[in-house]
Amino acid sequence: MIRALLFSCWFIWVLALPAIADTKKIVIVTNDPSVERLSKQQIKHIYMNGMSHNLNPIHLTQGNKTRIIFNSTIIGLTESRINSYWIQMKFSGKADPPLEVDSFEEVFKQLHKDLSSIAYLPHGIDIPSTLRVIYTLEY
Amino acid sequence: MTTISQYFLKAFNLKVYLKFFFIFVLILSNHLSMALETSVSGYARVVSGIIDDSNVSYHGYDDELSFDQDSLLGLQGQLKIDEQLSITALGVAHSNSDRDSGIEWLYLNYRPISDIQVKLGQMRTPFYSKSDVLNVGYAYPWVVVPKELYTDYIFDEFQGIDVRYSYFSNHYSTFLEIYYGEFDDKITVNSTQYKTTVDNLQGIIGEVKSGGFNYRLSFHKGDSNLELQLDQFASNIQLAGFGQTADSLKTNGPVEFYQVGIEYDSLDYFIISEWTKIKPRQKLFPDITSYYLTLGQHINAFTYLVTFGSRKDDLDEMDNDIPIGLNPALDQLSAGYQLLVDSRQQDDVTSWTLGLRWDLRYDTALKLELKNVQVEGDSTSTFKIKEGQSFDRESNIALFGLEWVF
Repeated sequence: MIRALLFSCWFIWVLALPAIADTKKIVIVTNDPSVERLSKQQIKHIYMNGMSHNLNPIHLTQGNKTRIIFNSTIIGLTESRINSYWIQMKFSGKADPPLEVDSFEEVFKQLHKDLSSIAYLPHGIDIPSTLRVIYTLEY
Repeated sequence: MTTISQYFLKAFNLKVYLKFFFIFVLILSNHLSMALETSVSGYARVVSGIIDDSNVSYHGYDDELSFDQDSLLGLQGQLKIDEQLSITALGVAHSNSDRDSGIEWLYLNYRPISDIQVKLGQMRTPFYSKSDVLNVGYAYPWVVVPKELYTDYIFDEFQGIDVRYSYFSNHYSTFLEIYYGEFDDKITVNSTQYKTTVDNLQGIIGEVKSGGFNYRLSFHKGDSNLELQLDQFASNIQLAGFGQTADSLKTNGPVEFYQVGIEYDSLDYFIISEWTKIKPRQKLFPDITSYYLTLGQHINAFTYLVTFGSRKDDLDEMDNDIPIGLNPALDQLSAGYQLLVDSRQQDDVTSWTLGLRWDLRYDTALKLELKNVQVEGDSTSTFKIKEGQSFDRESNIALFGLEWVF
């Protein structure tokens, strides 16, 4: 009886795995049809160097959970270090920080408005069919 | 660097030229309804410090808590004319009366393609890794940048042209920057101001970023002239027939500056290190070799760091060819020369610093720093010894900073 119960628990856990795993993904999307798949390093460059690759990165505002995961996994720095970096770039006139928006709706609007922009989104979210996924991050 | 750029710099006083250009653009924008974008950002810092020795002061800090050395407010405005052209102006109000408040930067920024940036006007001299943000304390972990390397002898701004090229690959970001210009202002060392000019100021900076690493290599040089009022004395020695001795008192001549910087930054910890060598041709001034190494750890909103800094000066021998005992006038000249040679300052400084940074919000940080500084030898420009007082060559400094960006 106990063995059957344990097996059932394990079976349910295995079935639930993909759903759990799905929540641990971030996708990078764009509206630009000319952009092929990007590497993690390229995405980091785009988000940290502003003008490179002729793609305009979109950030969610500070405190957003998806942004925190994106920063720690793709950029590899804490929020305060990234902020210090952009302060340095801004006050030296070398580059401007990425555009920041408040919500995923704003992200979609901006992606639609500026075809050469890219953004990160959590995997579970409904993504309009016009957008292409150019990188998937599992963490 | 080139005769064309030399001619250009002489033909225009860039500061005046840019001010007129700025006004011209504003008038145009009013009359032609040009779609100009403006943005204003800024920073403020309140820094206080105290030293545990009543006989000396350290970069302006003495045994009474003071807020008026490094506290400041900076406002930066940018006028974006189009995607390629913008004008940047930075005004800074210093609490330190030895430093001039007012417009520090005023330059035209031109980006013909995304990988090339040209700046023309008055801007920060890119000697060090943190030159661009020397006043923006939020952008670095210390309360005050390591003074062993960020010496007061080095001026902050220059007027000229700066070109920066960026290249990005899958694994590297590389930057190459060259500049040419001049400096004509004063430098302040231990509250004493020296009128200084530097012509043919030029430099090349290479930077490579890969993963968490950032490497910076730079070389700078210029023809400097520090006004020390020694011309009359040198002329007397010259007239007495001792040309070589008189030449050794020259305060003008070429100066070379070498710099290497390495940084590593991860989610958990970071390393920052810089090494510099300043090599003046003038015998009066020392070669200065400096470095620091900072190790730090991030734990949530707190950053803990430890820094070791070192500066070692190396003075050239100055041979006194003026004979003594022949006549009183020559004896006086010789004694005066020897007094001057012996009064040259030669620093041999080491320091240990423990620091704590607390990021209160995304735009505000609090910092605390405890610094132990030791000097070797009798002569130092690091500490200012009060008249008639002695110094045991070691002191502790506590510094506190509140950094804000907006």
